[in-house]
Amino acid sequence: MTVPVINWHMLMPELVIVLTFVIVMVFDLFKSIRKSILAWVTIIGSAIALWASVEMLHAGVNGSQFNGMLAVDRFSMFFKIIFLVSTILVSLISINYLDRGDKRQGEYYVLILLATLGMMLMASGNELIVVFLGLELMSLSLYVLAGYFRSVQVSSEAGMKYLLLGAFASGFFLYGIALIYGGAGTTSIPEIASVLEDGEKSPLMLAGMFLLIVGFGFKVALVPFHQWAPDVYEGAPTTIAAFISAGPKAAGFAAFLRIFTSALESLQPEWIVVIVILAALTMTVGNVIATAQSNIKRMLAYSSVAHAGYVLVALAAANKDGISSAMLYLLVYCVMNIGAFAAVILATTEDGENLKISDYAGLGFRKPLLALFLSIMLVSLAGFPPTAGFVGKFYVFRSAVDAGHIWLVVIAAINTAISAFYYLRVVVVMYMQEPDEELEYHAYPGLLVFTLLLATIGVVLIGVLPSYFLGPAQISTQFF
Amino acid sequence: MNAEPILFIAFGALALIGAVAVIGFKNPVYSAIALIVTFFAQAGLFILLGAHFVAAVQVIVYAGAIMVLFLFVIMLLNLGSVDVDRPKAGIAKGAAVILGIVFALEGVYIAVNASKGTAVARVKRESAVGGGSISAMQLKELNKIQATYQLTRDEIDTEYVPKVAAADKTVEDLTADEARTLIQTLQGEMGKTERIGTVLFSKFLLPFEVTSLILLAALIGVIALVKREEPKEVS
Repeated sequence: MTVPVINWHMLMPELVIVLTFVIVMVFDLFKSIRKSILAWVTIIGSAIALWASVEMLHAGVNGSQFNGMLAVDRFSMFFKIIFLVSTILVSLISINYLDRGDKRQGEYYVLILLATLGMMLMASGNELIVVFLGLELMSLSLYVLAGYFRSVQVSSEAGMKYLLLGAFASGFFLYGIALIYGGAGTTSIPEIASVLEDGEKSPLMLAGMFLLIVGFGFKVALVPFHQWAPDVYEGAPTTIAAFISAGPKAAGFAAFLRIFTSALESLQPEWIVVIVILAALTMTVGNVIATAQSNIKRMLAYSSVAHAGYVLVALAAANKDGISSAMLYLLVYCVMNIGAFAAVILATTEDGENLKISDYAGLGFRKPLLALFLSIMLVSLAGFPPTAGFVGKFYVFRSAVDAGHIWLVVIAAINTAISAFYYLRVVVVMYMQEPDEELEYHAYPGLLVFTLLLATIGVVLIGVLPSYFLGPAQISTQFF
Repeated sequence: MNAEPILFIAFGALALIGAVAVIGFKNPVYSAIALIVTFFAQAGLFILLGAHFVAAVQVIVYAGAIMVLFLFVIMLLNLGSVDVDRPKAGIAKGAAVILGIVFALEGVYIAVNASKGTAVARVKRESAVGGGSISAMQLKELNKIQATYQLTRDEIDTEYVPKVAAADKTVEDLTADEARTLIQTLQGEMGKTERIGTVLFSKFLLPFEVTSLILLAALIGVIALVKREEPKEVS
């Protein structure tokens, strides 16, 4: 028996996160410690892991650990940066949000950290089993977080729905892995690629591939597997809705990209058709239904469904440009989406969350700073220059045009126009409508404003200097 | 006569009947008992695949521990027979039936063509030619087994080759027929507990450790959901 030689340096980001959640668990035991300390430990731990990931991306790591089970490459590092940025932003907006009601804060941050660890394993997993375990670690933590406010009925409902449909999707995913194992005789991603290269296409592999698409489709909420998303986003605590819409979606796409452009590269003619159809469906259905929503959380849920469709457009390009533009898009999307949710939290009143879009009437005059931030996020989500949303969409569309998917880009462009309608409607309501009644808003909590400021700086910075962010993505498309 | 196909059909049928019975019974206790039948039948299928350890775990953990827990909860909750609203025939039901049939047909198609183009099929095809010496494909398969189960070529030469051929032969001198038997023997050996233990702590160390984290996440999640909340107003 040969014990694997482990290079601990290469596992820095993961190890730091493990250490952080252990510290949070221990700190939670002391009654005298203020609960916000737990959030700060989470943020500092994530920041250290983020720093390690950035360093490793710069150093150009390209190796694997645990007998090739875990790829430590720049691709995974780029995604780890996305996850950790999301975790830090979500922890920042959670501090005030949790202080408003719930007392159980230790488990909340531990579960967020465990979900982050699961995402990191999904991005790094070079073996279908590891990807699946990462997916389960992430999903299990998220099911609980979605139903975290037990006394709120919609929250319990969200948790239950997410659990049932998520478990169902995991079944599809696992069955897909089993069939691929049956066809290739291995679950290692590079080995599957080499088996497929010198063999004919067995129906087992094809069936496994389709089941994987269904499994991923559920996890990243593609149409027609998106039904859970609006209910879960609406019912879950708003901070968790922000978290679910950002990191886990990026993690799903990280594994999606690695498996489909590496292991199943030889089956590209088969999967590209499915991806193109799913992309067109996801964008159109997501955007059209979003226009009809009156609840802002549901609107953001459908908009996040639509954004998954844009990422699929990049995946349909199926080349290096496609991968790097998908990576940049996911980074941009995570920052602006968490920003938008943070603004939603800020806009709540003393007597509850006012989530109707009509409640935002007149916000532009009564809360000018908040309205300005929210407007920037929405303009970016719609994809107007000079924001990050424009840059993300631009590179995605360009990669798809270069790959010859002209009509898919036409559909995407039409969808962008549709999405502009419902994003800008909120801005119009904020600045041009008079409120029906005077609402008592929470005071500006400093941290939430700070988070929004960070997100805004990020959105504008990526929008103005895209090459600083696209560059690292472009050199990170090589899988180990 | 080879008993394997008969046993496979028997266990497979039993597993299916049990599974249908689980959702068919109105009394939850009967459903739980039917689930035990399915678990046992699955354990039988695992044995047929040479996975003895997994079969034993299946019986001990699933048919044993988890089912006791299930029955306990059902009895504690004192559930009588539950009236489930069966969905009326409608578009949804019709669509479900059609999709189910399509899915079943796909399953049949895959099952019929399953071996086409797979690595296993190629090994079989090349060794079916018979005669000759060990083929490149078989060597590749052996290398894979070797890598997966952390064996050395020496171990195979000294321990397993004598079981299928003359003792002084090494892997390279085997005939194709002998090599096929060797691969089968090795695959059979590998279900043993000792080998699984070795593999879990060497090649599959990472998944093994991650599994413990998943259990921890589940544990923390359950505590977070059932812990007594301090009284507060609901926002």
